Amino acid sequence: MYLYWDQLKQELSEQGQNFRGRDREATLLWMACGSCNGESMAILGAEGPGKAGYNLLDFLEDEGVRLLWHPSLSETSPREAATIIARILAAEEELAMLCVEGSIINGPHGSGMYDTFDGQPKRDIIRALCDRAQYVIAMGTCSAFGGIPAAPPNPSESCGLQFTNEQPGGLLGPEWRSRAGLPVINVAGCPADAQTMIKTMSLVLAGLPLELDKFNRPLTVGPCLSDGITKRCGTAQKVGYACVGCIGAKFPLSKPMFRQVELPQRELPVLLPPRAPIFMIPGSDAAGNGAPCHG
Amino acid sequence: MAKQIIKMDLNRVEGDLEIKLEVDDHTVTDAWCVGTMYRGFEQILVGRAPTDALVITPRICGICSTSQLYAATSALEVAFQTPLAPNATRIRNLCLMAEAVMSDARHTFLMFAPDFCNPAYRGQPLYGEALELFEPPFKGRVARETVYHSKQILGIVIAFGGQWPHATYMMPGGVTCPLTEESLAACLAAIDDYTQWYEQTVLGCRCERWLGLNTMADFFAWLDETEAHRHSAVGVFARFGRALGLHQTGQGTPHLLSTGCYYDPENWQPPFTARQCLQPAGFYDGETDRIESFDQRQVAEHVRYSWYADYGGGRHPWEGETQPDYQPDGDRYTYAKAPRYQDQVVQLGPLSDLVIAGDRLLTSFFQAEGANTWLRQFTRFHRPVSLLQQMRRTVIELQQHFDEPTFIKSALGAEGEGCGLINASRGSLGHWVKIKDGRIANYQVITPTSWNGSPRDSANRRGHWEESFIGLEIKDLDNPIELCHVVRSHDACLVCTVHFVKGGRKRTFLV
Ligand code: SF4
Repeated sequence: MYLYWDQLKQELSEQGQNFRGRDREATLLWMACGSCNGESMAILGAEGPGKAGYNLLDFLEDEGVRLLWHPSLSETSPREAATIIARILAAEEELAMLCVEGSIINGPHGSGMYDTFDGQPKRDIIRALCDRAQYVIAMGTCSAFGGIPAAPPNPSESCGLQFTNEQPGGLLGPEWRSRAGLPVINVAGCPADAQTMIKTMSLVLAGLPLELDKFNRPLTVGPCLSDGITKRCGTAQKVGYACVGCIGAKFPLSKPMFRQVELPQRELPVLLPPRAPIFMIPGSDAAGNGAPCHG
Repeated sequence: MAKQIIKMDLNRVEGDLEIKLEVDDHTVTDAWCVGTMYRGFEQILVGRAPTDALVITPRICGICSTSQLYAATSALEVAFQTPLAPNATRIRNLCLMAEAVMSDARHTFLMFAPDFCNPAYRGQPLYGEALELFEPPFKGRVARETVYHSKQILGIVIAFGGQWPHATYMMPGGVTCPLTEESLAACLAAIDDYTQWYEQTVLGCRCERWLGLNTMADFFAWLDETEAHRHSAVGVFARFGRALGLHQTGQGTPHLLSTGCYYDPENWQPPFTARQCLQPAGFYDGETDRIESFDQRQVAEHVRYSWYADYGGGRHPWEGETQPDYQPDGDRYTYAKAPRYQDQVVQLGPLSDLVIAGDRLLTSFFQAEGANTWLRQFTRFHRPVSLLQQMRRTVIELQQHFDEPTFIKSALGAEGEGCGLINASRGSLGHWVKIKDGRIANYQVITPTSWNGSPRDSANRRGHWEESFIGLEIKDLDNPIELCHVVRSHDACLVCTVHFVKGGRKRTFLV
């Protein structure tokens, strides 16, 4: 059954079995590879107007997670980040969760030099880090399956962490398991939905069993704008273009990708409340019943 | 001191960039901007259905995906000469403005202002106040509020696009989303809330009052007027920034470019030649001190110092090529190309956009002090005030035209060439497309960062950022805070790793 966020939080706190409870510090490292920063932006939260959404900062605070580094949100500079990475690799620092955003870039000619960190192919750093992490979470379709950069002709020779499109393999190979014994958890989506990312991390921290589908996507992953019950993408109905299948491993191989879905004409204007008051509701509850929110 | 290489970095910038500097004693004598990532969007687009660009190009950047979508849609519209619903232009403008307002706040309070809390400034009289407002990460009052309010204003994009980033709610002819009373009410509420926060926290006065400031003198008089003005976010920024001399650094090239934005809904129709915009396009020639009209045919990209197959000289984007050719040895140093306008190095961004659009307050500062670090950042405080007003006006217009369509159906052609030009939050963005046999034959994107962060061109002239570092004095090479301010004022859409090459050694390492 689909768990609503509040229920989930309730269950987690009742279980009290999170990393803190188990005496192990929960740490989080966020790495961006061939990415557009879409997940980083999304996780800062973007709800409908007037809704105070739960975002990464709240999550870190509430769950007592220590953020080791995030490329655009941390104060720590990349040089210090390099030190942190070195400490993790030397097993001097525990790494509970490694979140990766963006495709793994292997070009040109397999060298990985199309995407470097500190002069090294970022790919190699990610591979080493994966082996130190309790859990590896691919945030977004790019890091899960390759996504947009891996679209033909795949000029950057991109792949996902454990898949290249729907082919198992990717950077780590199909057999790879994290220290906690799980494959890469693929929080697919383009971008992955903020609440989905946070829920998944919470489940992981709580040590709850994660059920993964054949593309290693946890059950938290669902299509955009879905009502949470039917699990159908709500984009066509709400925004007027067909679902582009962004949580799929094949995204964006489908051709052509864009299809408009003409929405039925809106109801007769006479049925609507008079328009004038709309200009006069400064901050009234009009905010509450506003736009559909993502996820 | 023996020659040595010092490596030093910047945090809190999006993307992948390294800056290498040659430093003589404490003064920067040369600079190279290195784009370190290549994803190949332009190659991915070739051969695909033209409308695929609407799904793929927003994914270039998760921060300005509305801008990418708008530019892509415009490029197709121009190529196919598609008639377009005026309401769609209103909705697009509204969403683009919301993205700019969001970006101004996030950039200013989450990226730029935290540098005022650098330990190097402990002795500054305003240090305590800066900490209270801006202390990173997200500790300062304004920083925290920014996360909340910037998210709220994005509700406008979500009202029409369903999600942010990466919605594809625009298409040639209009927008795919419906226009509802609810979404308009939600937009107005979001604008109201944001305006209230902006007045209280950021300005310390009503927007109307702020918009009455026309000259530099007006601004300083305003600043001295009340405690509320002095201690508002902009008050603290203005005083702290000038105390540090930020109005004297980071000038860069004297030429400004803006390709124009926010089309007039009623007039933006085929043949799309008269580009009537709320922010008109133009080229400010720093030598003649004149604003000339903008002609997109004067844009050319060079790859002499970039890791692409060389074609010699500059090429207009329609003729452009993106054939990566990575060569670790040799004098090429970046994956960025070098766009030039009328064969000049230009700077783009909110300051250029507004000076060319004739904004009085900014022009007054610009004439007195030129483009500089302080003024570029000051623009990010100033711009949302008029944008919020314009957004409200747009919502009201939509209200007045509520019964008109948001989309006009027409068949897309199989051939054509077009360019879509808009001003994204960081400056002008252009998409150039060529379509043959119903497929994309060529696609070139020039982002604001590719203009500003460009490498040297065929004539070996430095790009704008490279130029803006020259002569900068850095007191502590281990904490090059002066440099951070300059880089951030450009809103580098790139993770910057800055590498010093001291004492005349150049480009001896990395990448
Ligand atoms: S999955 Fe989508 S949102 Fe995430 S990095 Fe890739 S393109 Fe950007």
